[in-house]
Amino acid sequence: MFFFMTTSNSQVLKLLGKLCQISAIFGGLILVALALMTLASVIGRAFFSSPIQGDIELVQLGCAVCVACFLPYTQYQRANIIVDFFTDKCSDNTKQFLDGFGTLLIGLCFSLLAWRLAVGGLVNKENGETSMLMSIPVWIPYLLMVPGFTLTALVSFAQSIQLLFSKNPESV
Amino acid sequence: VVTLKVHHFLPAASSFNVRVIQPWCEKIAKESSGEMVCQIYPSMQLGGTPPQLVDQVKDGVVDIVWVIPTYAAGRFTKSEVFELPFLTASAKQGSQALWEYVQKNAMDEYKGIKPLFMHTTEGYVLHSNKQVKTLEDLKGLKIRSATRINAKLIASLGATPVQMPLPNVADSISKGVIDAAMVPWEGVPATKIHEIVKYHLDAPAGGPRFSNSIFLFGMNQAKYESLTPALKKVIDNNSGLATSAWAGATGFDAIVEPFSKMAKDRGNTVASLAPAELERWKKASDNVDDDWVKEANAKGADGAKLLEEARALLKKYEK
Amino acid sequence: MSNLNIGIGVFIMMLGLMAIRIPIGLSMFIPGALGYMMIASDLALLNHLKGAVYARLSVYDLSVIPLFMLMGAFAMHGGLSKALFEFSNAILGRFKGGMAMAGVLACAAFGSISGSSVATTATIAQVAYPEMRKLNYSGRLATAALATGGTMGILLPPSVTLMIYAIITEQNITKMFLAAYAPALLAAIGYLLAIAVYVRIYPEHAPAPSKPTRQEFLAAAKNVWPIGLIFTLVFGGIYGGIFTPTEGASIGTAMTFLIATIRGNMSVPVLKKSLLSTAQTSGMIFMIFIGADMMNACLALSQLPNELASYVANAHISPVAVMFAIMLFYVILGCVMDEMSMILLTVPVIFPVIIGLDFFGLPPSDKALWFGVLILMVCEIGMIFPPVGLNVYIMNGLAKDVPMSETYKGVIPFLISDAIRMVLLIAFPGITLWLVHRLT
Ligand code: NA
Ligand code: NA
Repeated sequence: MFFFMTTSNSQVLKLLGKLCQISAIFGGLILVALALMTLASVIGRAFFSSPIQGDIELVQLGCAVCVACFLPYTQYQRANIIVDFFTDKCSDNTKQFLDGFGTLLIGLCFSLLAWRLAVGGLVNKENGETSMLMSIPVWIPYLLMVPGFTLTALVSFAQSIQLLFSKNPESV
Repeated sequence: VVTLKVHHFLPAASSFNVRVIQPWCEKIAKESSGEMVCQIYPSMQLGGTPPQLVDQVKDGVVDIVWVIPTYAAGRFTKSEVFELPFLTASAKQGSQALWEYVQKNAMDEYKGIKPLFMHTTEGYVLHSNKQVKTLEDLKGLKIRSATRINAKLIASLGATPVQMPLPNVADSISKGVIDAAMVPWEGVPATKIHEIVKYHLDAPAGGPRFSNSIFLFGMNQAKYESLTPALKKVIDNNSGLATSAWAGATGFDAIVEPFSKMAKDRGNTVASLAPAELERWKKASDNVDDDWVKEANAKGADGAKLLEEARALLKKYEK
Repeated sequence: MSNLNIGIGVFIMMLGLMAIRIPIGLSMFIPGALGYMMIASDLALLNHLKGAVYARLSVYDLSVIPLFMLMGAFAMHGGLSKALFEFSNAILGRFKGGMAMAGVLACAAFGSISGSSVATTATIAQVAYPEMRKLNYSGRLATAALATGGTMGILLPPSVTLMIYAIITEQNITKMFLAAYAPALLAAIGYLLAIAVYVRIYPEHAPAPSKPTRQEFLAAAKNVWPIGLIFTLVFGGIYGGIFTPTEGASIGTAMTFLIATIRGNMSVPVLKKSLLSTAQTSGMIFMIFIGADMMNACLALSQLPNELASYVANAHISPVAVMFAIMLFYVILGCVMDEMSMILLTVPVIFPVIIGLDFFGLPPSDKALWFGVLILMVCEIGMIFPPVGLNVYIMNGLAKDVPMSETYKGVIPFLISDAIRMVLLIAFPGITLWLVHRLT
């Protein structure tokens, strides 16, 4: 039974991996756009006395969205940093079990964070808070961050199933 | 013993924390015979951003905040009127007018929060490395703006507003990334701007200042309701119109003299704008008022009437 | 339960979670969240989390991190960093351990345009680490040199942490920056010496020196000019007053992209690879920040750091002993908090005490500058000091082939050099203050 569960799970994981890549590239393109925008603003300020009004707040909220888009890919690659030297001597099975447990915890924590971000966004939508100079509604970046956190949680759950129940987790 | 968590965005050594927040806390501790004390968390120690302070107190993450509510742009449009250029003349006057105005017109902007006192600064001063005497001198100057309305004022006067976090201001002026900054005297010792610039320009004495911002010292409503009648009374005795006047006068008006003397002692020029020039600056910035009226109207308020009322209240507390 | 007990509990739980391979960010987040809940309430925690993540991810000074990661990725995938390292090797390869020294110097150069240690280590490591490994440097020496070199990012101006210290203690930021230069120079010299000594004791950790031919040198020099151009423009722009250091990150990124494109090294697959590696490293760093933020909020709420700070500061011992006790206190605190939070929480308590004590008859303003540099230095040390050192973790995350214990072993010679520097700077405040007095 576990065999079937893990097979379908590894397919789910592959699909999630594609989504993580798309999300990361989307975030990266935001970053490129922010860099070019800042360059334009600095040139405008230095040579024409006309910077882009609100360049700083654009960088702030843009980067928040961009990092949120990055997180699922980091998790998919299992690039989070762990301390390995206390478990150096443990068997591979033990390590795999511990990693599965840790990944499960990530899934739970990111679910919590995604939920709180969504609530924060909805509250901000209601009270109409905007950014200072460009009057961009604050709920927009909040809600744009939710998919990244949700996807991170989903990937973690799929990975933890793989780690906890499969003998040879190839692509985890 | 009730402990009130007080959260704000300036350092513990900042003038306002030392002169107003700490004494206020000592006073309520004394009047409640130690039954109610503050635990002050300065410098955003508990996390979040300055605009989020409003929600932190509303949601009860902390019990009391000291905040510039307009950092959360778009939520305090009615209260924002006192930030308009060339309106308030002193912190004591502005604070009293603000308190009365908000109580009467804008309490819906403070749902879940019990304002204890509100205040303004004495007004923003232009600190620059180039001497500014006329409207023409402002042309092309890059000036760090403090708030939304402040940025609009700077643009309407022909200068370039630049957005920048306060800690970066001194370094940026010294390198020449920006030419000037608008900061009330209260912020000068912490940022040491007076050691970096040579000129400080204010509006003519006694009259309306260039620009201002509003402040709220507010408590979580539910926390207030949970207090015993005796403790509520202590809070009540230390809030309201008189406390607002005290906060403005002590926190801002009283420090103009000593802090501007610090700048003069370094050989800096502390000057006032010529009255004839002031009229030109006022005229150039008329559109800032108009824009605010439009925004207030768009939010369903009567902008022109509110602006009139603010002016009338300022007149009332002029002396 | 008293706040002290909660604080200790949080600390032990964090170490326990780390020991069983729970990712570092999470090992800080979970105890932090539980502690916060116990001190305040579950409702307060939920409301705190509503805004906390956005707050942490939208901090302007941190938003340079993904930008610098992208710049490093463009430089690496666009072939620019290879050129830089061939050139450095042509110059420094003739010395034993020369490329490790080049890595430290690159960190110093980058640290003088970036305000953060994490950004410095991560950016330089991306560029330098693969090249060092190709030249047969041991993982231990390579990771340790880069993790340590990066710590100069917070001491060398511009430094966000130094700016915050200046604001809290009301010091002139220009003088503060001047005070940091000599100690930072001392740091760089100390690290170079540490490498030189290390490769003499353990020659197998670095390849044999090789003297390049004249042709090799010229070929390397021909390829390195784009990097030189980018660095000159960013450096000149920051110090010439055209843009701020934070803006410099964007401008460096845009220019690296342009030059890689002009040189024909940019393509859709290269762009895709650069974006993905940026995503991976930035995500890794920010996962730690999210966890550290929760931990900081919990410890701030408990007031434990400032209670301990005032306990240390008010112990009835001699001023120099107080100073050493404070330094020790920061190294320990550095295990659970990031440098910014440590400064925000403890300096308001400790600073007045320092100003009240007599150190070599220094006037208060000098004392403030001197103490600021010392505090920054312990924060630096905290970033590589076991068991919890953020820079070591980040470096290790980038070098998946090296176990963390190896990096920590490699860090030891650098910690010794830091300890010697610390003693020198405490004993001779003149080292720190000389430039300030000369130039102001
Ligand atoms: Na730096
Ligand atoms: Na440490």
